[in-house]
Amino acid sequence: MSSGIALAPKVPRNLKATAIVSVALVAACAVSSLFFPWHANRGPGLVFGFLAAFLFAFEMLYPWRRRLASRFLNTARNWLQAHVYLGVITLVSVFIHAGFRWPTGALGWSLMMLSVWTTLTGLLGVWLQKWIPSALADGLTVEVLYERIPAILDKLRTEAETLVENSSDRLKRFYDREARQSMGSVSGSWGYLFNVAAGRERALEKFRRMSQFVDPSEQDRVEDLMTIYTEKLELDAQYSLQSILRRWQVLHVPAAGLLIGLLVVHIAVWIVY
Amino acid sequence: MPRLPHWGTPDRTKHYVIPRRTGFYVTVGLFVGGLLVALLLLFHKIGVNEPLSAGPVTSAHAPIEAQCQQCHSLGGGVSNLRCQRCHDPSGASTLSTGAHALYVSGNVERALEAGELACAACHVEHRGRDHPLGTIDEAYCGGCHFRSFDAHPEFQVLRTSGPEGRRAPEVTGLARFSHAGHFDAVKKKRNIEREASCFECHEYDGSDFAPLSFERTCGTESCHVLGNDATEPLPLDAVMSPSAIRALAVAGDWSFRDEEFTIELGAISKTRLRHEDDWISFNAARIHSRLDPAHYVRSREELVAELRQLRRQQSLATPLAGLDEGRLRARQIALEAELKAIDARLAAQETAIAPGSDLSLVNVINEALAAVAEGDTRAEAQDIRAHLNQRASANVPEGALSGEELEARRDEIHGLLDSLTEAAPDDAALGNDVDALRTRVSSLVPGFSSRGLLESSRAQRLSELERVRDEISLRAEGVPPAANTLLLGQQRSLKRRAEGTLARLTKLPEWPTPAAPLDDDARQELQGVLDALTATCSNACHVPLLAKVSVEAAARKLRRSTFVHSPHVLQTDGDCLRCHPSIVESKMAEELNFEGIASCMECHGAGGIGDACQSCHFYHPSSGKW
Repeated sequence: MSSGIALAPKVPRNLKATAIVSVALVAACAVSSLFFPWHANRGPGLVFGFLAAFLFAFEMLYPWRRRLASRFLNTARNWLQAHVYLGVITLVSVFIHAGFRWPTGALGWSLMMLSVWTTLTGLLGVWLQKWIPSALADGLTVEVLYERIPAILDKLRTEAETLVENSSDRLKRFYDREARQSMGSVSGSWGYLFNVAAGRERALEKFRRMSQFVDPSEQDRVEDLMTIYTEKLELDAQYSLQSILRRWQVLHVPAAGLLIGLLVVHIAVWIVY
Repeated sequence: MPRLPHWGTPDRTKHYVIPRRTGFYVTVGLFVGGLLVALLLLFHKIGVNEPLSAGPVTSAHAPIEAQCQQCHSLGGGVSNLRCQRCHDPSGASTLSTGAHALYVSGNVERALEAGELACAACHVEHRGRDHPLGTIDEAYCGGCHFRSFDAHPEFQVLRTSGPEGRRAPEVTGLARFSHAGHFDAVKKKRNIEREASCFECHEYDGSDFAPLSFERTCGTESCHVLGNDATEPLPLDAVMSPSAIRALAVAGDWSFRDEEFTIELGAISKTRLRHEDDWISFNAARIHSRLDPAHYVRSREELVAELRQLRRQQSLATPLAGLDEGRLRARQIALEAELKAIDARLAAQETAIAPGSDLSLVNVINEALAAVAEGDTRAEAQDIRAHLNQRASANVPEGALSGEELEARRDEIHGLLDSLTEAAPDDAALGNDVDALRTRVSSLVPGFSSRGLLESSRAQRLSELERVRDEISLRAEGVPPAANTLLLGQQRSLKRRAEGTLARLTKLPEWPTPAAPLDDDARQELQGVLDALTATCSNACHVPLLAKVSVEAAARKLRRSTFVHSPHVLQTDGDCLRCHPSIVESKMAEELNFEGIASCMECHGAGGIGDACQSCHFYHPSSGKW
């Protein structure tokens, strides 16, 4: 699956609407700044500040979408679509609110950086959600539940060791040297994000070379061992990619919480001062 | 044997991976956010406000950066009152929108309607130490004026000049000055090109030409020397000798000496004249007071009113921040009393000027006068009453009176006031009231209605009262007074203006009102003496009626903009005629001799040199500039 396909929107109509709204908002900002100097805390600048704050609050409802789904937006898919596209509009509103100027002050910089970070990590999450499942389905033969990967690996290791137990010393030495350690645990790698078969050919090449030096009666055994090792490599890829799919939120969610906290401070400071 | 695949659910194992639930991240995020809020609040509580600040303030404001209340009022944003604590410490209100409207239009009604614009709307803070706070977004100017330099209207001084041309509407008192004559004289004397001759008189002082003055520019050893000139012999019953002037003990620093005079056969002549000769000025003013007593009194009272206003401003030119709480409270009480008095006057005016309004108070005074006085005075009192009744039934004009109407009405009121004082010369209380009223009437100027002036005063007092209250509340909150205030320049300017007004007033001493008006012969004779007295002045440069025209040296023509010559002279390679082509033929001082905005547009705008409003104009009229 190409990354272009992974970037293709699930609902093109929503992407188009977001683009149109964003351009319209920027145009409104440009036109009004011809007539009124831009201020974050006055006139149109303040309106965009309100809009951004309201949208941030809406974005924060996403974790509670299940409870709210029956009342608004009906389905989880609609919630996600709203979360993603309104998130983009929120960032555009933040830029407009700031008058497309660099912020000043620790609070301003923190708010701006966190807004950018949260939106970008959110978009990264969207890409990962679309890219990883496709990559796993297209590039791997093994399908496995993330939670069961260690258990299946245990089983593969037992199977491999049973297979090697009754073989020649040469094959035993090869297994001990080249495979035993890696069969002991799951080995994650970022490389799988871009190629689910990354490093597989190089790892299997050792088994192919070994099959030339063993007794012909042990050729099938080596083939089986290679199949087991291929499955193990696919489990590694599954584990790596599913971990990324689950853990990218560590980049997004705490930052969003922090952003909401600072937003509360920002609004309070504006009201008080 | 090939390996068999495993189908079905594998056996249970303890080695499951249990990924974290999304809720954990949400909880962590919200906890961290909450913790941050609590920390920031704690910092704020202990006075560490920097993390909450929207950014560093400009370097000039850096010393008060940590004290938010110096600029911000709780729940009220950046308050103008807080800016004024340092930037308008005496409450002159020159930085207000009303002052801008008044300065631009000269219309007090417009100034009153201008409303209030927050200082912070244009001067945006918290944009860094080096942020130029005084430079504002040009879009602000376009909000009320025009948006493009191409749409810049012609200079007002040119719009209002005479049809033939380019003449300043106001008389400068130097009507006979001829640029053309001076060009020829300088060219002949110095043997230099015409283009270079400008710089013989116009000298640089810093980046612009120094204002011309007689002493420095004209009265040099080779040009206009007054030392050998003398007045004609003038009758001593029409002009006063130096000793007689000294005997009057009129305040003033008289420079004349006895040896400069010859007195023969009841006539006096001054044999050595100076520029702005104080003996001539004194006697001219005296003759003026006899020829046109009403105008003289009015000129004098205008100056008295101006001086009184300036002295009030001077007395208030003490920063509120420098007063202790007791004095602040005292000022609050005084201002509240002043406001009450203004409100009473406004309310009284409401009924007093209405057609057919109740004149009962005036009637009571009038009846009292008619009862105590006899003969002519009684008849005069009846005339006054009839006149007032006639006024009361007449239509009151909308808005301010024109210049001529105002002068006529003012003379009328002065006449009525004279009648009142003559009717009861011993009534001190009445005399004080009449004097106060006379000063108020004298302080009126064309285009300003008395109601407008009262409302302007009310607005000014109200704003001052708000400032005093704000200062008191700040003290209660423990905010220290502003350490530095930008008052010195303002104080100097006020002092300079008051000194100037006092000097002009000194030259117009108070003379007793003539017992009877001059007959035509006496008037003609006295006019002849005045002409002879000022002959040297009017033959040289000045207009004949010296006493009625105040000479304003180096008067600014473009009053609402700044213009610096040096960069323009540099660009034209010293060719002044490029912008002042008509000057070589100019024979009158009031001729403006500069082309209009079109000549500016030759270089500025349209991709040329910058055309920002702020390169020539200033929003806030500084006290020295208007």
